[in-house]
Amino acid sequence: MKKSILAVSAILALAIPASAPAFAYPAGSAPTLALSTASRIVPGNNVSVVVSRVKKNCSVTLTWGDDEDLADLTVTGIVRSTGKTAVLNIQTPSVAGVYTLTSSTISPACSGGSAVTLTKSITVGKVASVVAKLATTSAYVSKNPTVSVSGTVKSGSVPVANASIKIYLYRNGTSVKVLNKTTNGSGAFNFDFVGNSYTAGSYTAEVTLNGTTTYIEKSVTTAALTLR
Amino acid sequence: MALVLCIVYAIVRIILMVVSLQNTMGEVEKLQTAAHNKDLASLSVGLGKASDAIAMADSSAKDPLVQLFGFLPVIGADIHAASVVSSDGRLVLQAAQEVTSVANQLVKAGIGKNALSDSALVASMRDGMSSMDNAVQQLNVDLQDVDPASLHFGLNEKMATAKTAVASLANASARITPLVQVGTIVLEQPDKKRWFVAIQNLAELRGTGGITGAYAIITSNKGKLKLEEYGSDKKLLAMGKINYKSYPEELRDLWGVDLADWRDINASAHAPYAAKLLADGWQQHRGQKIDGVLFVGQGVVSELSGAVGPVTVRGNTIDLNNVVDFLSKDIYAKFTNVQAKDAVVGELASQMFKRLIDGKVNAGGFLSAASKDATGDRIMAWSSDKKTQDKFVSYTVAGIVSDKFGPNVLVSLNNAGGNKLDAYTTLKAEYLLGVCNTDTFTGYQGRRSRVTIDLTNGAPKSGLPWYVTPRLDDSFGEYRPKGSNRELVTVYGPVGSESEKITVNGEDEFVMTGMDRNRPVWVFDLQMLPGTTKQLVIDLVEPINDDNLELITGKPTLTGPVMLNGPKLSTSSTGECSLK
Repeated sequence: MKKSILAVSAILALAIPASAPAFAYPAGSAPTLALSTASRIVPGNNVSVVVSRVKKNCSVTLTWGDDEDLADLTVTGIVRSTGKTAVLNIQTPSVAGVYTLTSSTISPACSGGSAVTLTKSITVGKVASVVAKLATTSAYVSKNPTVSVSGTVKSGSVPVANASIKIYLYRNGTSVKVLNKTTNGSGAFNFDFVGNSYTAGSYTAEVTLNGTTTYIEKSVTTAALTLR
Repeated sequence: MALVLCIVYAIVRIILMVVSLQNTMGEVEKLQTAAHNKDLASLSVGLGKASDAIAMADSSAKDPLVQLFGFLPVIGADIHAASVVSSDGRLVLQAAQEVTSVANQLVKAGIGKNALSDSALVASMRDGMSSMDNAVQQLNVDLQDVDPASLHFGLNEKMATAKTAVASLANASARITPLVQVGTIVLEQPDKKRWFVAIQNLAELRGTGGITGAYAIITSNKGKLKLEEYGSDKKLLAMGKINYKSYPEELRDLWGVDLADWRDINASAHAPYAAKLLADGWQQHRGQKIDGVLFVGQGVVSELSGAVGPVTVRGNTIDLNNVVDFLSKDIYAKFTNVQAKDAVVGELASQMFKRLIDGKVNAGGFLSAASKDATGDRIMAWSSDKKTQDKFVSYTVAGIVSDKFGPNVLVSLNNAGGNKLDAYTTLKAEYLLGVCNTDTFTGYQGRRSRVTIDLTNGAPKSGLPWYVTPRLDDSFGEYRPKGSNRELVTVYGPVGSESEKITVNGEDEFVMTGMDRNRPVWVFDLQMLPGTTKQLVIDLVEPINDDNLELITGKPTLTGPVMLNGPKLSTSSTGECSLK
């Protein structure tokens, strides 16, 4: 047995150092967009960026993509002889969310290869966890049930109090009711969908925490509830 | 009176344990003769006798009264040590007996040469080796707690010797077992399969190990193996570029690599990405389906060298003691002509392979080489068949970067200088789980942690051949004397974690960031002058609960790079956190 395994391994491994060519194309040759840190960014604060591995005297402009509302948030740097720009500080959007930091097109003459546009997805603000469930006073529409949605919004161990949330009620995938509500001081919510007369079907609720200056918009859909 | 009887009973049991252990040692000594004669049948019988003898010792060791004596001053340590050896050693010997018995049957069946008539035997071999490895690793861990200096009756010297031997065995087992696991899975395929073997050169590092310097195409068919093709990377490059649309788009810029280039496709540490690209590339250019891909490096070669014994090529005798240095350093100095170097490798490969096929192997040499292997090489395997891939995953040989929650950090290296200087690269890393009671911005309850990496370029400033030292990256006016290198150090953080501060040698550092396998990734781009060390530190906040709000538990794990010089890794924790 061992001979056979050795034979397999031999075929696998023997020629290793015939290996690499004299001049392999090295990793890390393309222009890069590097950050001092991409985590724990507060909306409206600056992020520090360096664009690297670009030819000397080339100009690089950074923006937050094509969002016209963010057109003022831009910064331009000139590449130094080290192949790097100076540290570029660009203000982040004031509303929490996931944004794409985008460079101007770096021409072949500046990249040393093909034209390239650098992009980096950056999370600005905090993520909250939304937990929600649907309940009903009866599983039978003939008993005129009341359907309610309840849950909590927290970020880590911290309740997200007085947060604006939007709640959609769906029957068989079609929206039948929308509520705009806020969480209480403990980050909890509990609302009845009053004024509804229900028909049989599969119900779900989608609860969305609206984006704020602190928290990123976040949605969650409950498990289905069947009314007969 | 009852107390006296209990004491007498316990003493008798202890004496039985000691006598049984002595009998075990006697049987183990006899095994050496059988092993020397390559007599698997006798070896299996001998292991059975040793196993029976140690089972008696284990029975005594597990007696509650005997265990009570383990708390006594003076002789307590002796009883504890004997108990560890009895309990763990029994499991090792039992597993070894099973492995030897199955191996004997497989050799008789002509495994590898003849069609496989009973695939269950191959599976038994794999399971037996896996069990034996678990037992050996456990024995090694438990023996670390035994202090030979605290033992009496001449046990101190024996225990010190045993600890060294078991540590060596544990190292060998950890290297041989994955080879057996992968090899048996390849052999037991029920129909013809084509395997692409990516032969990595760990002197130029990549996420899965090293640059694909050469390859082999082998087929397996009901246990029979055939080498279909072998070639260097030049042959791959001549085929043309790979269409890499299947590669995750968000990763394409992270390491600044050309994924169409056969040499650069394994920048991510997640082996299935590169494996699929290799399979795609072969299909695109050769029109043949690749059923699986295996990644191997120089470490495996050293084991094979031990198995086949010394081989002489053009006046150079290569054996288990010099093979790694020869293939990663000396060959470049002795054969400065690239074609001559490749020819030497080819001659070496053919001689070793012929010996293996002819059965001219030495299991002792194989074991010895494995125990001495100081590389950080490890085999990785991928299959397009889901069931086969699941087996690779279950034996943790699939090179998977986990996308699950947990205190897991992985470090990988990519050579960005286009040279062979990673023969001189060393790495030390530490992962510390720190204080609780903080939250992540990613929405979890969390704790602080720190990853510290010391990266050293140990290359000399002069004397290395030209082939080893080029800098193919643009200089941008940097000072980079001979022996200087450029490394991309990648740190995969735990799922949901985030960085608070990133430094190199105490100064804030700018790094490339991204997500790979649901994990945050930080890539350090470092110039490394010869003979220098840089210290990288990432302060993290990482989750202690998952998306189901369940507490994350478990010890921290740190996976190091596949590299020529085995990395030194350590973890520590301030303890478990609790949810608020």
